[in-house]
Amino acid sequence: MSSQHLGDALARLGRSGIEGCERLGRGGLFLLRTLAGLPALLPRPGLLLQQIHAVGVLTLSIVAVAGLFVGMVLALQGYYTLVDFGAEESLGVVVSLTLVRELGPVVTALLFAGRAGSALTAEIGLMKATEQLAGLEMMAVDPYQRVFAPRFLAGFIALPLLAAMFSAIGVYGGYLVGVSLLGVDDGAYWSQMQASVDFADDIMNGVVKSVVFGFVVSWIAIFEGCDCVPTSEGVARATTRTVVHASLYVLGLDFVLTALMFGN
Amino acid sequence: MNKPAPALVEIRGLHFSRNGRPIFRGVDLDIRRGQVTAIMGPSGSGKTTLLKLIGAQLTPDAGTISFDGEDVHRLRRRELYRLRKRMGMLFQSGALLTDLSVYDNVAFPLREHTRLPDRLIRHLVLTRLHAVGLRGARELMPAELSGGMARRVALARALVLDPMMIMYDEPFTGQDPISMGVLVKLIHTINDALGLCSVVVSHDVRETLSIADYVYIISDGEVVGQGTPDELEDAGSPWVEQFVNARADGPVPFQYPAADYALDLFGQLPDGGPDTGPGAGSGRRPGEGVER
Repeated sequence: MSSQHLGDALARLGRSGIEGCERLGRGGLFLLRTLAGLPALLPRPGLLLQQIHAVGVLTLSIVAVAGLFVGMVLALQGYYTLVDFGAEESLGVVVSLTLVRELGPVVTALLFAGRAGSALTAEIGLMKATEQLAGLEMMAVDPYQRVFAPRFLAGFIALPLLAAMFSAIGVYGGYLVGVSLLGVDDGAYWSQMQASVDFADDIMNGVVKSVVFGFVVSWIAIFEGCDCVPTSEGVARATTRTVVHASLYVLGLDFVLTALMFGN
Repeated sequence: MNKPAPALVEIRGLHFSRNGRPIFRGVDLDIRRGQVTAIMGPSGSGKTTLLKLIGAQLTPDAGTISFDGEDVHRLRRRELYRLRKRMGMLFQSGALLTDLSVYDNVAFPLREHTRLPDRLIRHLVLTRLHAVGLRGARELMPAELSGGMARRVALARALVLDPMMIMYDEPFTGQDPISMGVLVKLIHTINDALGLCSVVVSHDVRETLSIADYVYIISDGEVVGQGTPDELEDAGSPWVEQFVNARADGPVPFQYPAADYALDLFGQLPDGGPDTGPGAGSGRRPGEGVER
């Protein structure tokens, strides 16, 4: 009997492995077709701008508020640690490097997955459930060009811009707490930051991270919507999967990218 | 005797199954130019699936479907899209784009496929909306429409590119009696006035038979009856008889296959019997097709 259970468990494991590979293959093909649909956007920039507004501009407020608070918390924590060593004038460096290298891209990507990624999945999933995608197909309109490509590119463009906003607002939040509240020298806050933050090593590496996250989160969000079971339960599951998978991929990729960029 | 009109759609030896369950087992049928062809059959007989197969949204396991002489499942994507511009499809749900107004929904195919000036697009859209009685609703959003109105907007949208054929998936469901009467007349009038070919999939026997030139009845994966409405009435086939006269008893079972009713309600079969769980003995997976 136990060998029977072992056999069943192995069969389930094998099936889930095959399903995982199949899904990965579908996701890859989906990405290729979406990328192939990008040139169709050239004569119709309005479609892209509309989606940048939907996924980027509408996410800006939560990114700004989150950036402000994260910068303020960083300044508080950094100040109480640095002041013990008499190094509180380095607060600007601590806040800016933490934001630009790590928290800017990562927290923005997590917020983006929760706000814009889930919305993209739900929108596309509902379009599938209500036969809008099938309707487009029957009207000889390719959903990859008309629906998926503009949303994918919008996410890819919007996330790095949002991450830059997050970092900039975070640095200002750190200034508010560190300089205005805790009395760190104004000039030292900015000048030490200017001297220590390197454009190529720090800022550009953060930009690369946010570009990679933008690519992955947008891909996951749109693929999950397109691949969902077209029922209300299916759309709900797909939306949850988007947030969970995108968040885990962002955190995992962040480790890999950090190791590649900053490791010796 | 008049020579029959040439077929626009020819289906030969169509086999299709979903999740291992056969939906079509060797279906042959012709949809002729200039005619209203009705496809009828009990729920779950694959009528909507047939429309999706004709539109190449699904691929058959075997057999061919040709539209205007071209095998729709052998075409490349670009060629298929070119062909689909000559087909209109009215989905059961309407399938309107929810972020566009009624006007923009109807104008959508024109804006996607033509470079017509806005003035001409407006003219074309308003004439189609007037034909379905919704010219005054052009500013409404799909969420503000009833199910019947949404389907009429979808009909206007399907007509706007002047297709050769329109496929109607359950066009009469959810219509009030006035709209139903108008829609029945509209399908017939549009078909005759524009020289279209119409395929109507429907459960509404009387309305469909009143406009159909030719009818196919599908059940259990096969064509079980065909002919003009008059021929069907006189055919004497038990399948046709049951369906056309809406009888509960006949070759088409009302009940989904299930274990014995008394055993299901009051007891278990002896050990080793099939009645050991939900759906047992019905040929379905546990939980499938069970009322919750």
